[in-house]
Amino acid sequence: MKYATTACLLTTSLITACKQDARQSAPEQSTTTDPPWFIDEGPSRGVRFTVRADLPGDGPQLPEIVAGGAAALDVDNDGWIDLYLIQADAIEGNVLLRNRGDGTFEDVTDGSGADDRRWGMGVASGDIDGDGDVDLYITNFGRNTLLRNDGEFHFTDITEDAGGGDEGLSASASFFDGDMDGDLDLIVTNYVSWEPQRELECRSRTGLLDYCAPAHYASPTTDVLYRNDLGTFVDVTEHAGLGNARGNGLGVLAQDFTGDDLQDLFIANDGNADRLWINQGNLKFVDRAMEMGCDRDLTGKEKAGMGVASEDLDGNGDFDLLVCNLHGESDSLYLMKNGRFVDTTGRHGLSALTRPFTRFGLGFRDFDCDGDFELYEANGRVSMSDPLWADDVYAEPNLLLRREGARFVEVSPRGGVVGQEPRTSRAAVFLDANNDGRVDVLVINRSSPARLLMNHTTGGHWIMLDVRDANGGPAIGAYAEVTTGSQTQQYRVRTDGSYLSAHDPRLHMGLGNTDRVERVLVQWPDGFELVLDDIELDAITRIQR
Amino acid sequence: MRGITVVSAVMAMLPLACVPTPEPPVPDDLATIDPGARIVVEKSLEVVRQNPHAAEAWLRLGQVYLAHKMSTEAAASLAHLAEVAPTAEVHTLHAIALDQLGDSAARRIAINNAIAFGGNRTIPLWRAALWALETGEVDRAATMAEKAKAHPEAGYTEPMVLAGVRLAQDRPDEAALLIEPIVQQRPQDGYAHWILGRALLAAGNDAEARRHLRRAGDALPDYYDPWEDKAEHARADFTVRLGQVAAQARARQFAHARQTLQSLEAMYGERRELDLAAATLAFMEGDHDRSTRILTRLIKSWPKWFPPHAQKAQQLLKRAQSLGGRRLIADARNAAETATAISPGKMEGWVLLSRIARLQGDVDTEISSLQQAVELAPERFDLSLQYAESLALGGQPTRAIDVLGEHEDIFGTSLATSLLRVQSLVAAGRGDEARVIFEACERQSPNNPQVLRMKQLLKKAGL
Repeated sequence: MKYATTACLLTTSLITACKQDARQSAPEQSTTTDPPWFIDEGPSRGVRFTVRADLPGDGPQLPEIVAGGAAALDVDNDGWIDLYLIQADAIEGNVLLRNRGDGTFEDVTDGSGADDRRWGMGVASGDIDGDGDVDLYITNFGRNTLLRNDGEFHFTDITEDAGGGDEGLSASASFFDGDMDGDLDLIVTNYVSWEPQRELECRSRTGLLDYCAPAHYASPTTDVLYRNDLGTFVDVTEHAGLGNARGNGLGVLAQDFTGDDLQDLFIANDGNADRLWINQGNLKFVDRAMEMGCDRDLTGKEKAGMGVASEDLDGNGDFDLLVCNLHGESDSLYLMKNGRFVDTTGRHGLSALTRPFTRFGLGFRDFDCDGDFELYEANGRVSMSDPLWADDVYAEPNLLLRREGARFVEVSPRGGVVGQEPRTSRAAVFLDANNDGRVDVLVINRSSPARLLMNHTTGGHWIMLDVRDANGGPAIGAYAEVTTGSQTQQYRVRTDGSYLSAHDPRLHMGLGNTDRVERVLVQWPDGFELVLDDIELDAITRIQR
Repeated sequence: MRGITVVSAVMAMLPLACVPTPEPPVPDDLATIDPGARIVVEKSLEVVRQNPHAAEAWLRLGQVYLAHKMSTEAAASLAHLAEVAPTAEVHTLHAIALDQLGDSAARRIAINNAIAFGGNRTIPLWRAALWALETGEVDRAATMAEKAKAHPEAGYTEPMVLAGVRLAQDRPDEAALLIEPIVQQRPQDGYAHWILGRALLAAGNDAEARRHLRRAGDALPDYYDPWEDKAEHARADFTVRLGQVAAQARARQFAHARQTLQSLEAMYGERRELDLAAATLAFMEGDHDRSTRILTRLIKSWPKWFPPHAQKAQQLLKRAQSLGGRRLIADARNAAETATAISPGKMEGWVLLSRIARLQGDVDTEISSLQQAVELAPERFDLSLQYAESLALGGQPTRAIDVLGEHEDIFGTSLATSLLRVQSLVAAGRGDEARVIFEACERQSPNNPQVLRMKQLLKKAGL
């Protein structure tokens, strides 16, 4: 009878548990008495921003549910990361926030020329003209915008003269040097060939009008590749081999996956197979996603690829890949092994952890400086839930996952934040806002205030490398190898990845208890190498070509 | 495990009346959910309230909730049933509901209960294997999948699951051995091709891998689970009810279809999908004018909606085929072009356009449309063959030979592809090669009418 009693109690408690689950989706797995990793200090630090994501007209319209981007960049090269926030209502305009030099921000949009008032989606950052200032590319529903940084917190819209003004519904974009000619080219993902007249009627389970999945429109479109010709962006999509490849592009990153020093492109397609464009040189690409095993994971399903991340997770000297997907579909984690990707999502415990949520912005960073990557994921549905979180039927909690052996486990408190109220999150931008060597997160939320999650973890040494090119701009594409003891970890200077985001380009490495970095090798995209054997711990080191 | 089995058996024998019966769970938003779904939910609730101790009533309620993705209510109903009248099926459905809720810990308990309950079914075992894979418990996944595969009742699902586990274990050779017979048995099973392709890829056999991965298509697993299928049959929302109209029309039960349509109009009010169904029904009944009127109205109201344009093109094509007439075919073409412009990602639009273009003798459009269709659905055997045929007939025999090569890479060689290759080689002026292939066809199928017809053609060509 002992068994019977236990079993009955168990099933009774299951009923109770189910009722709770229904209102919380995946239950938080541990108590919330653990100290927070992050505290939302957005309002007190001057980040007060809400993405409106409204289009004129009645009913849900596709772009509204996927908008919400932001960039972290050092606009004035003062060593402090500023913020650029993308608005999605074509009225209020984008917002430029200057870092006052202490991790607090002031709104300097007025008169900056950066208040692009188109219907904004995402942003990419990079020095396009070699003047050492970081420029911006804004993806919109409608014409995209290229903003040249003139210095002194002033930008000029140069799209009409310099190009890049694709007119589609664009999502993530990335600056990268695809032809190794020393300037930054540009890849822009396009989501759906959409216009308001194409909107459809889709309904939630309860019969309410809801957003449609992209497949309903059956209107995939092509991404656009621009070659930088001395500051002018020329559409070379056809020449590059991307012209016949339709998809529903949302996430993009440039990375060298084949070890040939050429930047390849991974594009996450919502509801279509993802693409891995292998760089053949001279800005020509061939899609090898299927052959390399990352077009779909082991489930075989063409999942709703959204945000993307790539780091050397297993420390074996090549870059691995993570794609996040829709509620009901797990993330897809691919580890590079002998030139092919192996789906290890389940083995790393990521399937069960991620499947209950719709993830968008994400990234691997060592938030607690213990020498191991954690994974942050910003979540929010694209179709109505049961009214779990009554104020926002698309809201979901964000996740912070840390490594425990080979597996990821959820950090408590959920999302690293005490009492995290679920929101409909989109971009997750990674930066060190106050230069304390701890990676902070800016999360953009639809119809509710953005969060600036300041990192309050303690312990563990770190270094941060601010790798610059010869002109003083971020050396996008530069490669760094950091050797501590018997371990060598590799990194690449990038601002892309996540979703609709442009990140702090500085390379952050947590070292745990290690108190010495034996060697840092930096290789710039032109092949120039520098070896440093005397890197100061717990400090930001600027390294210029 | 044995303890739980005994306990479960004891619980099954408990008189249900002794167990306190909770109120059946009711969704908060019942009043506003899909009206068709609401009818079956309310009916099932009524049956439970009238027979609160009837296990069958609770099971039906759980199935209805599961079918409509009301996972919270499904889990609560099935949890009660698992307590008062457990079976392996009930525990498994309970686990599925918990899975929909994303509660992997409770799901594990429920599926373990299903396994412990026994019964001559492998479903709980292979489901446990899949879920263990998801939580990263590869060893548990392997144990469960091996047990399922070894079960005397095992069909195609069990080795397929084990093959997936072997892939996750980085044992691609074993995965390939397991899945190859399934691919032979079920050549249309995209997921089987997918697993085999991935196994071959991991084993370094790129060419063969590519062949299977291309055939995989959407590659969604089609596991055999009659319990879940039974639950799915309880679905009664708008989509399912609309499907009934189409099924009745296909069976030429037009009066029934009209009645169903009318009841849907009464239940759901104005919906464009209902108008579209009415247009289709009218056309099938021969009332072309009514069908055209409805489609015209739909196109006016929803100019960027693919279905009415495609439907219009289809109907005009059919009429043109039976009546002839350039006007009809030109109108069909306009409609098809509009449809493909609205939704270039829909393969059906391109196929329609290619058929219309063929009727018009517009070879270029026929070929380019089929090319688009093949790109959208590379797993469709018929499309790439049709594409090659259009190229051959359209004066591009060399390209046709290339496409046939790609087709045969994916689907293998058949008499149809060989004869088309012969035809293309002849057109390309490569008669010697054509003759060799034809002779092989003739040896293989000497009396096949297509072979005989080709023989005549070759004779005429002096070969």
